[in-house]
Formats: sequence, C-alpha cells, structure tokens
Amino acid sequence: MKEKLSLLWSFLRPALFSVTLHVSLIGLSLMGLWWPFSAEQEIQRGVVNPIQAKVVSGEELAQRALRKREEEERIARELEEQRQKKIEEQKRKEELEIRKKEEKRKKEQLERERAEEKKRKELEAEEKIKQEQKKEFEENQRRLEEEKRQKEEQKKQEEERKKQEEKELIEAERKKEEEKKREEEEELKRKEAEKKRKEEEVKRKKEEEERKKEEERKKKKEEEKLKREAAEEQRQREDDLRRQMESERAERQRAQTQSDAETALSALVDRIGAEVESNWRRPINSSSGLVAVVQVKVSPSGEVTSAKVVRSSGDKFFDQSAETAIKKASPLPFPSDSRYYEYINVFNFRFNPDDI
Amino acid sequence: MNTLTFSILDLTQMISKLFFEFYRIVRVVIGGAVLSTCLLVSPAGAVVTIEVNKGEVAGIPIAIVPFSIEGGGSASQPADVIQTDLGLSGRFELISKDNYISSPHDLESVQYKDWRLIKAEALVVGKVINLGNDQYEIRFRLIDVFREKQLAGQKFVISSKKIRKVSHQISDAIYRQLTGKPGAFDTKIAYVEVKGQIPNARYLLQVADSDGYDPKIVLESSQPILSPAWSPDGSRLAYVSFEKKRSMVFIQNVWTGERAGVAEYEGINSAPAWSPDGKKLALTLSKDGNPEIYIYDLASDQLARLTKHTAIDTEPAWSPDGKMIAFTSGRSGAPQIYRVPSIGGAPQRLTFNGVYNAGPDYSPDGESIVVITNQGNGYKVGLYSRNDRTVRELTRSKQDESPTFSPNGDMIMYATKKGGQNVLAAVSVDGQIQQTLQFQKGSVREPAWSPFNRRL
Repeated sequence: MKEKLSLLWSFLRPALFSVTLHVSLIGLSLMGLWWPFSAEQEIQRGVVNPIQAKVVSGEELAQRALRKREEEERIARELEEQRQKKIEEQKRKEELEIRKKEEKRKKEQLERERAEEKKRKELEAEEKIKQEQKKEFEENQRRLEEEKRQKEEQKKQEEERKKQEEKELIEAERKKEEEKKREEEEELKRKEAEKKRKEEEVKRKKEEEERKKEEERKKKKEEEKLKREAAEEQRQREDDLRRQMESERAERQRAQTQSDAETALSALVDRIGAEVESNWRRPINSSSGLVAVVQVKVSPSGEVTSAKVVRSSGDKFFDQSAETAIKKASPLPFPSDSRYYEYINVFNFRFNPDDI
Repeated sequence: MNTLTFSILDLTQMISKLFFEFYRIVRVVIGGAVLSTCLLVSPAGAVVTIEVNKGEVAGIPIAIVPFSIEGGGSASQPADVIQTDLGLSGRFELISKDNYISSPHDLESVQYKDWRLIKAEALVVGKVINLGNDQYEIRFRLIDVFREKQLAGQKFVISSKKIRKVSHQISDAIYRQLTGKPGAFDTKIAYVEVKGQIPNARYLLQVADSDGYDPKIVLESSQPILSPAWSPDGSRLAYVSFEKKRSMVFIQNVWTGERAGVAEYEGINSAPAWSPDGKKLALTLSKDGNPEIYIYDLASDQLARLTKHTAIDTEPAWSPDGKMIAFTSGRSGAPQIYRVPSIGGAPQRLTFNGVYNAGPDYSPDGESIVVITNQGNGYKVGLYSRNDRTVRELTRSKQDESPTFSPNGDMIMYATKKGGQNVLAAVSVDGQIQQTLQFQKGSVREPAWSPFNRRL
C-alpha cells in the first residue's frame, strides 16, 4: 500500500510542478497585457532609454510596445518550452530511475522470497527427519513395552492354565464319581422301566388281541353290511335300470317335443304361481320385509299332499298365510300329461311381497 | 337353497331320483310383465322355486255357522253377535251364510272340503244347550279349514242374560287366535244420548256393550252432560254435568251410582282425564282467568296448575306411561296438539299439518295419538304418529268429533253426523274399515271406550 502511494507520488510530483509553472506564467503574461501602468512604465523607461532618439507618434509607440510585448511573449514561450522540455527530461529521468528502483526492488524481493522458501524447505526437511526419528523411537519403545506385556501375559496365562488344570483335575474326579452314581441310579431306573414295560407289553398284547377280535367282528359285520348293501345296490340298480329304461323312453318321447315342453312347462309354472298368488291373503298389519319359503309336494293330479314352511319369516301369521294360500290353491293346475309331473312334483314357493 | 331342499327331501326318494330324474331349475317371477324362465338341465336335481310377490292384504275369510239351539227356549244367537263383532274389527272377511254347503255344530261333523270350496280359512261352529232353570251351556270351536285342526274351543255355562257377553268373549278368543292380539269386544262404551228437542231435551249418560247393545242409564239430566271418561279399572266414570246450570266435574261409580263432585270452581270445569294409575284427574279449569290444564290428586284433594298461557289450553289426555299430557291449545292462533310432562314443564307442539287438530287420545301403546283434524276437507278422525310426526286422516266423514281408542288399539270410536243425525262410528287404525254403529235410535255423542274388561 505504502509502496503504491509512493509510486503515485513520483508521478504526480513533476505534473504538479509543471501545472503550477504554467499557471504562474499565464498569470504574469496577462498582467503585462492588461496593466496600463506597466506599459507606461515601459514607455517612461523608453523615454529614459537614450538609444531611442526618435520621436514617435503615440500610435507607433503603441505599435512598438505591442510588438515588443509579442517578442517578449515569444521569448518567454520559448524559454518556457525549453524549461518544459527540461522538466519532461527530468521527469523521464526520474521515471526511469523509479522504474529501475522498482525493478531492483522486485528482484530483491524475489531473491528474498526464494531464500525464504529455501530456508523453509530446509526447516521442513529437518522437522520431518526429527519427526521420523521420534516416531521410530516411540515405535521401538512401544514394541519393547508390548514384548514385556506379552511376556507377562504369557506368564499369567501359564499360571492360569496351571490353576485350571488343577481345577479340572478335581472336577473330573468329581464328575467321575457323579457319573458312577448316576449310572447306578439309571441302571436301577432302567431295570424298573424294563419291568414296567414288560408288564405293559403284556397288557398291550392282551388289549391288541381284544381289539383284533373286535375288529374282526366289526369287519365281519361290515362285510355283511357291504354284502347286504351290494345286494341292495344291485337290486336298486336293477330297479333303477328298469326305471331308467322307462325314463329313457319317456325322455325320447319328451325330446321330440323339447321346445314345446319347455314352453309348456314355464307356462305351467306361471299358472301355478298365479293360482297361489290369487289365493294368498296377506295379513293386515304385518311388517314389511317378511319372506317365507314353503315347500310343497304334489300328487300327479296336482293335489298338494304336503306344504311346510322351510324358511320362516319370523311372523307366525305371515307364515300361516303363505301355507294357507298353497292349500287353498290345491289342486294346482297340472295338466293330465304326467310328463310335467316328472319335472315338478316337489317345489318351493317363495313368498316375498314387494309392494311394502 | 338346493342343498337345503335336499336335506329336507325324503332320503329314499332322493336316492331313487338322484340319477334318473333330471329336474329343472325354473325361476319364475310372477306378476311382472316379463316372465323370466330359464330351464336348465341339472344333473344333481333341483327344486323349482316359484316366486310369489303379490298378495291381497285382506281380512281373514271366516265362516260362522249359526249355533244350534238345543233344548228349547228363546236364547239369542251367539253367531250373530260374533259376526257383528268380527265384521266391525275390519280384520275379517265374513263369508255369507248363503254360501255354506253344510251346517256343522261340532268338530266331528265338519266336512273340510265344504269349507275349502268356499275358501273359508277359519270356521266357527258351536251350540247353545238349554239346561233349564235359565241355565245355558254354550260351546264353540274355531277350526283351521286348510290345516284341518281345531285352533280354539271352550264351554260356558251361564244364565240367558249373559249369552251376549259370552258371545263377545268368543269373539275375543277368535280375534286373539287369528290375529295374535287381544280382542276388545267384551268391553263397554259410555256415551251421551239426547232425547227430544232443546229446550225440552233430556240428556242420558249411557253405558252399553261395545257393539252398542244393552245400554244402561248412568245419569239422566235436563241439562247437558259432556266428556265421560273411564277410570282405568273400569268401575267409575268422570264426566261434566251442567245440572246446576254451570259446568261441574263429577266422578260416579258405574254400578253403585255413588258419585261425588270434584271440580265446582268459578268458570269452566271440564274435560276430565284419568291418570293411568287412577289416582289423578287432569282437568280444564278457568278459575284463574282463562282455561288452563290442572292436575287434581284424588287422595290428597290437591290441585296443581300445569299450563299457563293467555290462549285456551284444554282436552288433556294422559300418555299410557303417565309421564306426558297431550292437550289442545290455541296458542299458535289455531287449535293444535301440544304435550307437557305431567309433573310440569315446557309444552311442546306436536301437530303442524292442518288448520285444526284437537281432542287428543293416546293409543294404548303410546305410539300414536288420535285427534280430530281439519286439513281443509272438514273435521275428520286423524292419527298422529310419533314416528313420522304427521297427522293422517282416517275417515271420509266431515263432522267427526270425540275420538276414543279401543283398549287393544286396533279401533277408534268417534261421534259423527249421518243424515242429520248424531251417530257413533268406528274406524280401524289403518282407516280401512269404517262402520256406523246402528244400534241407537236417538242422537248420540261423546263416546268413551272402556278399558279391558275387569268386572264390567
């Protein structure tokens, strides 16, 4: 910072000087031009001056004075220019000097820094060596201590081991005794268990025999039953076969008019439902949401042979009304064609009023 | 459903059918425009289910065979009484005698097909046997025609004048058996009959059977009698009499005739109503200015004022639990029903539809209140329901007054005008059955249905 200021000052100093000089010179010349007394003084001096013997007119005199002043100004200007040059020369020299100084300074600075760097590096190297030496020393120390410690440890362990061995020896002896005792006890137990096992074995065998007897008896019974069932099944099968044949005959018949039958069947169901519905009197004041299912069996002629509530609505009177409706509708409108009866001879009515 | 059906099916039938008979599932919705029928061959077998969705809500078809009268004498016919009772209730469809194929009088002689043919679900048969010395044996049987079994049967031995009463009891038994609710036929009604023309009219406070028969005069006066009210035990009547040219409230024993005045204050003394425990009377009195509701304690002779309003408060009615008193008040500008705790409190308005709702009487279950309502079509019996908080019109007549609930809550009796005559009529709570009681000759008003028979 300080260096920078001094550098700035070295530039400013000649500049300031030249400016001051110019100002003063201009001031002087202006005084000479405008001050009438100075011209008069000159004139007076001119009068005194014996060299000018000639009488001149006022105008000429003024002219002369002007010329003379111009001449003086010119001289002054030249002088000034010379001085200016000199000053600039001086300035240049000074600048050169400064630059030289600066360079020198920088060079010195550089050298100083280099020297310092070198010294620092030397110091660092020295320090590093010292550190390494110290480390090495500490390492050695530690190693020594470690060895010492290990030795102690070994010693301790050795002692421990010895103690342990002694202890184990005692323990082993104790265990041996215990083992012996246990073995004796176990032997006793084993013998008892064996005795018990044998007893149980006898018992088990006895039971097994009984079970076997029972199983044989059951098996025999089962076989008899199976035989009976097989016979029954056989009879059933024959029966069924006969019926199947009959049924197949009916089926063949039915197949001929399949679509007719289907239509007729749905119409029949429709008719039956309508019949029951027209006979259904729902009780007054029964609550809403009641549903009852009544299962119905009919005879081939459509006579209701049984009607029972298989799903109660929970309302006795509602259930009864449903059951009664079916009974009232009996005989249900079955056609004389018995084929219908094959399809519907047991069916459900679901009473589910939808308008409340 | 199919599995359920299986379990129910006879097992042997199942086995034989299992493999060789293919059932079809047929599901038919009946009554709808579209008949949705799907026929599927089901190897496992299934049972046709037929949906029944519509059914007429109607009374139970019942045939009541005239009882045989055996042993001579001129006993009245119980079947007529039963017929009238059951007909009035609206819960039965009476099958005309003209359609009967046979006339059995005991279970053994019943030919079920005769009754199935005319679709009678229930059949009543019985006989009256004159035992001599004014003793009669009455037997009846209630028969389920389609299940072919007896549902009820009873034998009574009574004097001739009790035949009607026993007939009402038979009606009660039939009603209970077929509807599940107690009958209210063996009960009484109190009403006021006016004989002659004003100013020479005679006022009779009468008590008759529920069907109007056998009226007995409780009080006769040349001045108006109003607002009879039964005590809960059915032994006493409270009423308003103008016999001293001004209104007074009396309590009178129906059987002994013994009576006492309970309110003879200045101004109006009216509208007595018994508390359910029979210990208090709610009254309308104007002794303190304008008509207000008071509670009179019979034992202590203490009077407590319940309402206080510049408008008229009158016609108190106790809730069955005794906690509330419903009453008519003009405080909204027109008569409306309010209620107030019977121990006192802030009145709460109950009715909002119609320009007029008055004369409340609680149903026995406390769920509804019968009133006279005018919703622009005249004064009709209306039912205020606690559930929907509205008043539903029940009658078609236009000059109804003084509605009173039957003790089983199924019927409402009221006074109305028919052909310029004051008559009593009854309506079922669902409004389906309305019948005028044809028994009386004079002008009758102010009915009050008694509680269940205790010692009437």
